[in-house]
Amino acid sequence: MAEPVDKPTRDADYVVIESGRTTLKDLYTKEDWMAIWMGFLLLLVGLLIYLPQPPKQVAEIPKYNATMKEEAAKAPFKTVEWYNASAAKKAIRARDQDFGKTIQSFLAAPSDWKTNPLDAIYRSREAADAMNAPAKEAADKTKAAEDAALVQAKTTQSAAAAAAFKDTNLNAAAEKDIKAWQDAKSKASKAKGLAGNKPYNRIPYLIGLCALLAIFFGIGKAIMGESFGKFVVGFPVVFVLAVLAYMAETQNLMKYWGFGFPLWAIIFGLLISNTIGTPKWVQPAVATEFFIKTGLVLLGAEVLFNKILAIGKPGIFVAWICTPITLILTYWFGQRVIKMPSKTLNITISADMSVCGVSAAIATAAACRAKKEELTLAIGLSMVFTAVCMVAQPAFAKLVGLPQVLAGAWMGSTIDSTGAVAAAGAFYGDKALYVAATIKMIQNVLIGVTAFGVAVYWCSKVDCAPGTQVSWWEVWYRFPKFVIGFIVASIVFSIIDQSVGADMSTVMVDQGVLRGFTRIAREWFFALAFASIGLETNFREFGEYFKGGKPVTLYVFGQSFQLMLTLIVAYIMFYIVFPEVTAGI
Amino acid sequence: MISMKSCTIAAARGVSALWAAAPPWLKLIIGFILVWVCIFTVGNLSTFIPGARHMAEVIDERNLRATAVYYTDLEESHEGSQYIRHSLEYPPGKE
Repeated sequence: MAEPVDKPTRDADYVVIESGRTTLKDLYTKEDWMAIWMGFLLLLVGLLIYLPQPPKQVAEIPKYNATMKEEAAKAPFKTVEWYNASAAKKAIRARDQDFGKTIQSFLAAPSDWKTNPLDAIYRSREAADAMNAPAKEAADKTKAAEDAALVQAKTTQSAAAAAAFKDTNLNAAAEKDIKAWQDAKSKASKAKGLAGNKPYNRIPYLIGLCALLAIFFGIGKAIMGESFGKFVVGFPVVFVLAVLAYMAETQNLMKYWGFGFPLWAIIFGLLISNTIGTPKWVQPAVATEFFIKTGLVLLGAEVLFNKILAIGKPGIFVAWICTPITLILTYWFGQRVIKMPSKTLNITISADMSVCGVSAAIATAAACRAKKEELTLAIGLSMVFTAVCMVAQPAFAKLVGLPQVLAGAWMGSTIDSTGAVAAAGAFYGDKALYVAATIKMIQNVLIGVTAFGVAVYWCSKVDCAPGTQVSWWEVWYRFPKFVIGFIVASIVFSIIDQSVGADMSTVMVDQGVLRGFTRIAREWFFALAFASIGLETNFREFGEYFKGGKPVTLYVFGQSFQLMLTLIVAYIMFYIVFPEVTAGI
Repeated sequence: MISMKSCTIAAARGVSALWAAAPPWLKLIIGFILVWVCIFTVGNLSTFIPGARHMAEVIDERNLRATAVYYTDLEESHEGSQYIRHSLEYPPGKE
């Protein structure tokens, strides 16, 4: 096992900077610990806002469950009432209450636009009405079609019920009409969404958010012994870049390609740092590690371990067996076959490609102390390949005629980015979308295990001289401490998720604390981090990483292997070992 | 052929020298213009590639956030997992 070791130099190039022995003073002077406290503070605030105020409709949940149970026992297909109860239950969300909406308005990122970037932050009543006018007619038409389809579905269902659901022809007719009603309902819902544009003015909110974030992170910096004033003065520049990155993401054409804010934030930052240079007065606010680690602690709360059971055992096999095998094999291939000089780049690309794209790249890069250029490169590669895969994979699945569940499982586990997975699934069909999005969600949870595993492996094996063994104390000294915050947040929220029950957790945690507050904050923190990466990176530093095209070779190898392995495992699990799960979906 | 090659190299060197001599603010403005042009040219490719065009329609129709990085960034993951959970917990035709 005497392999070459890249001994990291402790300089500002590293995403994670941790050195020396741990003392109590570290708890308020080191960025890792400060990120933990600040992340925990936000999570606590989220819990205090949402948990004491459940929406009134939660009282209806047992009724909806009883209806689904009753209907499922009564008929051999999902009845109109079953679907209505399921939809009503899904619609209960803590963040839809007035206070939740206010929080979301305050934290909202810029909106969609086509040709005028200002549309992303301001839309007048006239503009909203003009957008709604052409869609209104279509919305009315699809609503009428939905109503007609419902009447038809109820009629055939009544006929099937009159025969005590014993007549297979009547049952099949009812099932077909109910499916047609569901399709019409889905179309009506989409058309209603297109006709529901509202006016907004995000400018005051963005100014307020900028001030709030400047104070929040400024206080953290001040506690760590840095200048509050200097941070606050430079922060608006970083914030503006983050806003611009969101605006580039929400441009109508760009969203088709899945090029998200991380890529744009880096590009805009790079443009400044490599032309006029990052001004000295901005530099105190360029706090990549601080933003990224605080964001990762918040992300930890979204890593809910109960989610891995969302689609039963086949989902665990597809997402939790194929992914680690691909991750380890790709890392091995990078080290042993193509001999990648940087282990950190190797593992960051492997995790990004095999687990879940950008979010896995961020967590892994931070856990193994990858350089900022390496994280940037991994994200760039991921976004380019994702854009290709999200179009090519559903096209291939269609060509060979893969069933919806198999195609969904395959795409969900192999396309990097979560958003692109949903787009590819939707391209293929509703069922493929549901399966793909759920498999991706299960795979997302792996991020916690990956970050922890990589951090331990790096501290105990990679960061030491060949042939030597380090003590556990040494591992602790070197360990990126923010990972503890990430794991603790995950464990605490998983316990809450488990203890309040799946239904209440969905309403209060997933659709309350997380999606109604901390998720939005986490995304802003990542946008600030990527803008900071751009602001402190030199274009020329990328050159050495591209030598020999090794990162691309690594990515292509890993992705090709994952595509084949996942397709085989998904087929075996969903169609041979657990066909009853597939039949039930 | 050789003169063509040397001309190209000379032109590239000329552009490089011109770029190096350009004021930083001009470089920044050019950079932003290039990004803007890139957004509208690369973005527009989706209207020419058949698969990409269909994908764009699906994304628009469903108002999908194709750039989402985590499952919580996407409403479809909630809808999908809830639908599957209900289907597996309350499967029709079983007492």
